[in-house]
Amino acid sequence: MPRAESGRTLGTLAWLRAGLRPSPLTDGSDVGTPAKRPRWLLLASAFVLWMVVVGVGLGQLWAYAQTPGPAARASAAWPAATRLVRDAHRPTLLVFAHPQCPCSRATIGELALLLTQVRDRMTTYVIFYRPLNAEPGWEQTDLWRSAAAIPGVQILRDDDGADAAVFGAATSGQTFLYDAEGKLIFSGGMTSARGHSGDNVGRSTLTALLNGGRSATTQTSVFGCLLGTPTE
Amino acid sequence: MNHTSDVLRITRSRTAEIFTQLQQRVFQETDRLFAVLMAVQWIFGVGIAYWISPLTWAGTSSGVHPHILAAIFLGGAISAFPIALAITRPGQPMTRYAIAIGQMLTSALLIHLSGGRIETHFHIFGSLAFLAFYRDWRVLVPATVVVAGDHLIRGIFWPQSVYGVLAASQWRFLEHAGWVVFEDIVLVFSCLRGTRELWSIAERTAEFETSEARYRAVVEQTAEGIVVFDARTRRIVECNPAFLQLLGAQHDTVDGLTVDESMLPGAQKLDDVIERLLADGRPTTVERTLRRPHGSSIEVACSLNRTVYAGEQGICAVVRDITEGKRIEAALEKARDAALQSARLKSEFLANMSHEIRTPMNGVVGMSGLLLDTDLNPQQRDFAETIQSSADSLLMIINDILDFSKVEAGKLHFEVLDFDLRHAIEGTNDLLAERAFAKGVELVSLIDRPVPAALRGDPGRLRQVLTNLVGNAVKFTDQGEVVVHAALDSESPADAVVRFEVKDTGIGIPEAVQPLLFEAFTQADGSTTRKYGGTGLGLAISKRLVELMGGEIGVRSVPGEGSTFWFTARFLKPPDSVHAEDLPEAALDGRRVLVVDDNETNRMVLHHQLASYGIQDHAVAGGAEALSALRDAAVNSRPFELAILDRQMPGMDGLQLARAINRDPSIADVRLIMMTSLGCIGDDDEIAAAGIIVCLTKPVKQAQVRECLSRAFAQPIGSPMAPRRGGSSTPGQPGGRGRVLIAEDNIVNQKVALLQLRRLGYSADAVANGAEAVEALSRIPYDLVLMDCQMPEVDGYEATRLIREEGHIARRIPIIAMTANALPGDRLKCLEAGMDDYITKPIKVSELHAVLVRWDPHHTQDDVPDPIGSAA
Repeated sequence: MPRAESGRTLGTLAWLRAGLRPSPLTDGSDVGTPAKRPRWLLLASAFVLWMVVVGVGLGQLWAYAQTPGPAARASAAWPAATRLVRDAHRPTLLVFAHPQCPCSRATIGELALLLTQVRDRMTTYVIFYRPLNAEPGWEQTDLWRSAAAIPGVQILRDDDGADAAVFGAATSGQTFLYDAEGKLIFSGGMTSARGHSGDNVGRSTLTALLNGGRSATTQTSVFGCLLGTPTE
Repeated sequence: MNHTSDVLRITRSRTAEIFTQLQQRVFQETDRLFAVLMAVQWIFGVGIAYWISPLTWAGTSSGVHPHILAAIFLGGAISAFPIALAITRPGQPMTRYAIAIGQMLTSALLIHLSGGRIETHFHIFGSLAFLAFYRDWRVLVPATVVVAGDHLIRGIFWPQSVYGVLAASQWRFLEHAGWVVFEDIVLVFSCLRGTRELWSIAERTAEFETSEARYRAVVEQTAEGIVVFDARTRRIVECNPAFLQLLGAQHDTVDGLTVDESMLPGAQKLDDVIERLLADGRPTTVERTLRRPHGSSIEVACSLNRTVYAGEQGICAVVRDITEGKRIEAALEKARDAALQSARLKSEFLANMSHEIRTPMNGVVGMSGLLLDTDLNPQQRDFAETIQSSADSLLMIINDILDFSKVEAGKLHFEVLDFDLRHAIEGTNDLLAERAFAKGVELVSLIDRPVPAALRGDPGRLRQVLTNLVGNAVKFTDQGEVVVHAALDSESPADAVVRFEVKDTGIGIPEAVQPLLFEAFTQADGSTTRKYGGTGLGLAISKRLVELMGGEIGVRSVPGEGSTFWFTARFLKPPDSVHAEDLPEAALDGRRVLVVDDNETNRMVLHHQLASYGIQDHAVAGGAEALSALRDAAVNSRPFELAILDRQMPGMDGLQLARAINRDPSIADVRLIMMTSLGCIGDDDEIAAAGIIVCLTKPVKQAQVRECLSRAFAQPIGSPMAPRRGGSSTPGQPGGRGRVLIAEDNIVNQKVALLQLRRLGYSADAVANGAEAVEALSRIPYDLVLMDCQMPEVDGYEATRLIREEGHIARRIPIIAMTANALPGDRLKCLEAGMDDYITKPIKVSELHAVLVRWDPHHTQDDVPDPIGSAA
């Protein structure tokens, strides 16, 4: 190859090599020199420590996110003692939520997503917990408003958690699905983790059930705050 | 490795350096950018957490949501290490890898804190794009590994949190990681392109630096000042350190200075020079004086040329300090003037010496000549002849010394004349023939046939050298012969180198002395001066003359056997020169001639001369052999038609042999030619009675031989005519006709003229220049003057004018010009100067005789031949 061409080719190969090879150190330090080894050791140790701390932290965070609330003590059929009216012609979906629970934001989001698919096939109630001595309007949070904005959803206030107690819901985000005969066909949450939107087993199970299909899963974990204080 | 390869290698090396520096700067700047970004992200994460999930509830009880703690502490931990590295180790690979990992972990945290919002997932893709700012594709690797690892681990342990299903396939993480990899591929190409652009920038920068360095190496390191000034304002806009040094100024003092402020006015107005340069664009050079601080200045030469500087028309000047050069030039001029003055003084000295010495000497020679023309008793005549010969000897010595001085001073003048080499050689021999004959030494000349007859050069100087060598040979030979031989050494269409050898049978020269012979004032032996006389300058002068004629000189000698002096000389060839090889005349071709001479050299020379005419010659050494050869030839019906007999032979001499031939009827028809020496002038009757048709005078000349042969063969057999001397001028009686003054600066030409005049029967004296001629004429009543036109001090024209003006020269004396120039205008010039006639050099005896007859008042009207002036 002529020299001019080889010069250009060499230039092309040079930048390619420069782009592919490790960059040199600018501090002139030579890792191999005995004087520089302790620094590299310290650096490597710091990196490892950092990864460990971050890993542990993330692990803890993920573990927390994956820790469900107490499961519902639900009866297999529509409780007679409830004040809620079941729809005798189609399934009834109940979602119990703590109005202050941040994790239930995802639940309400999943509910909205569910209703875009199967709204007309069920009657949907969202029951918000309200303590007896709560100030007026305590329960009307952005969660309340988000739920109320969903078409086809009836918002109910559950004073002192009476309705939750009747149905056995303990955790915010607890969802029950009763068929037209009043049989409980699903109990659980509609999120995959605390406050985590996105595809989840609960929503996909409800979708399958409401579309007339079957589902192998009838129960999922519920990720959210406690509907009542532990002493209650 | 050649220069181009070196430059390429240096440029590539520098490109790599610059690329590394640029890349490092990118790394460091991006590190700092990410340090800020990660800090902002941390704060933002805390804000997000506080906004989305500030509290966790249990009925009516609430507490700080773990997300807040995670945002603060975990977020801080994620950001702290990369930020710390960005601050302490910017640009390091560890830093950016840590930043890449930290950025992905931050994405994971933010996604988690935001509740897995799909919008927050874009942080991952955005972060990868930000990481591409490094233009280092390797940074994407740990980031991608973190994302893939996160999905892998959570897919294994918490699949629902990633995929929304309780159990996912083990390769499901690839579906999510695949989108990241897709972006990675695009970003890798972007990084590589960015690297290439960086490399291009580095290459251009390196090339510019190399070019700049090469430019600066020339401009800033050159010893000559370079300055650029604006063509319009004449202000200096750029200059190199050398110019500042010349100006004795600093850069800040030069900025804005006009060229007129920096230079003193010169012979040429600078404005005019610049305007002319701008108009025609032709570079020009001017010399100016450069002003320096403290009032000093230096001389500079400025080479100006047009240029364009920073888009404006400018003038670029290369300024060179010529102060030292000027000083040297002035010193050289001064030295030259001093040398010219010295040369002039030397010439004046030589001229004065020549005049001061020759003038009284000419007086002595002239007066002694006049004295000898009077009636003297034998004793008085002896005294007068002694005075004359002593004066001649002294004049010869003085001439040698002055000639040597001229040679040393480089004042010799060489004429350029067309001449016949044969005449030059034979003329020299004529000068010395009498002296040789007096000692009984044969003097012979031989010219080889290939030697061109007509040559162009200075015959006078050639004769001077030959006269010296032949004179020495005759002087140092007591018996035997002296042979002058001319041969062709080399030839070209334009010139010929002739080799001359003068061989004698004299006393020889010791080998130890031979190398010193041509040095001035050196003779073979100190006793030589006492026995043979001489100044020791002749050979030194001859050596100089030979060298000036483009030749060499040398000697071969054996003591007791003889010497051979040789020299070469280069002559030009006239356009129509012919060789000495004469075409045989029809009348001589095939004739049979017998040569009788006891001298082998003479026999050889005659054979050479006769053979050139196509003559069949046979040579014998004595009378008895001759008679036998003649008779045998007659018996064999191949008789000899002519015999050339040497007059002087041992046993039977030439006359006796001639008589013997005449007495023998079988060979009495042979025509006879007698060779006589100069001393045999008085034998005419005796020779005629012996039946000799014509005499040849030694030394025998080629032309004489032909003339005698033609005359002899033209004579009917049996009718001898009164023998006439072939070729040689009939020597006149000294003082028999007028007295002639010869004004000629060349000594040899003087001698030739003197001899020619003597043979024509004139008394003659010689002077060396016009001033001496005027003085001589004022004391001695010469009848005619032969005036050389070109002479030192006072030339012939000036001398003639002086002579005509001088009141004490009563009668109008005929002045005949001797000139080398034969143009018509020269004759007019001679006549206007007051001369009466002229003859051209080299002077032929017949022409000389004719002009003397015309102008010598001692000749009668019957002697006047046709004027030669009409031939001009």
